[in-house]
Amino acid sequence: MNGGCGKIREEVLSAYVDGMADGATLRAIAAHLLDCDACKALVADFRHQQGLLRQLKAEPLSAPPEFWANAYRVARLSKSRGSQSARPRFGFSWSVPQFAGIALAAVVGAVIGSQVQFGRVDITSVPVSRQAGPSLDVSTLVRAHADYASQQPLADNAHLTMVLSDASAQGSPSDGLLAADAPTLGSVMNASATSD
Amino acid sequence: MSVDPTDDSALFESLVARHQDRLYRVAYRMAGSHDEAQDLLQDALVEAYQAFHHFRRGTYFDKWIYKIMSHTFIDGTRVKKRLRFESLDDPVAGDETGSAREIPDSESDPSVRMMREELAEPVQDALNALPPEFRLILILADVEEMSYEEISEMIGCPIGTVRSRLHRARAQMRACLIKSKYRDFN
Repeated sequence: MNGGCGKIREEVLSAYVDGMADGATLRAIAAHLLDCDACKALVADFRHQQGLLRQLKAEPLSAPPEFWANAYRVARLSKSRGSQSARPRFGFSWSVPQFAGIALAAVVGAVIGSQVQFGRVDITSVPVSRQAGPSLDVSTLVRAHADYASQQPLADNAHLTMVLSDASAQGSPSDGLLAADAPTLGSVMNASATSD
Repeated sequence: MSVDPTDDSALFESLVARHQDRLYRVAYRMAGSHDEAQDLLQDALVEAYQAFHHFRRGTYFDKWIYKIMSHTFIDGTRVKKRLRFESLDDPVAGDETGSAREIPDSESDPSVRMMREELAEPVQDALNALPPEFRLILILADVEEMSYEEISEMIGCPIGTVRSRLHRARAQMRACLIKSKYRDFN
């Protein structure tokens, strides 16, 4: 793309098109343009482009007839619902309380995760060991996890899924997993879900 | 039509009604399509109505609501960057001819249709290719013919930034028009 000759900054030439320069600068640019084809062509392009954009105003554009009545109705409804329907300025479509709730859950989850990582909370009654796959008692793990999940709603259910898939991959017995007295994975997930 | 100044809802609607054509036009230029323009305008009206108690009576309502719409537009484009949208210009799945989806132009006036095909569409395509901040400033300056001071107030940046951003927007638009071999840009 060809620009000006470089003696005058393009930004100054752009402002010149809008008359946005002091008198002395405007005169200096006008004098330069008499002798510089490159800058003259650039200014001409900027003016031509500006003219095209101004013509866009002539295009008849209007909203559908029902748009405005609907828009006002939505605006009134959103105001009457208060902050719940207010869109936060950061552009998400969630309401502020929803976003705050999710942020709080993330913080609590991070805290619990750090507690588990540093071994301060033992979420299973049986140590999990990939090498000890055949002797893994899955039903005990499920029961322990269910107990923990009922006390700690944000418990890491993904951990239980990983343990179960490890156990089944290494052929460990599933005794008790589907027994009537053992909680199912689904009931564990449902029990630990937070209700609104 | 006289409006009770204590009735916020009626006053708000009457103020919007005075500027609705221009509001829609600007929203369309920002958003690039009728559907997205209506979404943008809807969001802006909700924001404006909720903030109407902050609007100082006697000041310029149009500048106030354009400011809200500008911020809504920029915020919205940041969200859209994270989402994947299917473009209407992409070929329809299974369409071996590779033709893009077409929406029939219901405009019956041939002069308007010609104006749209020869000017509005190629120029709007070039506008749509610009980053949102550049598109916004070009619309305010060169379509709506606002002054640098008005633009500065509307988008909340110094006049020097308006000047430099406007230059970069113009340069990029010029490059788009040259690349598309639009008339008189060679």
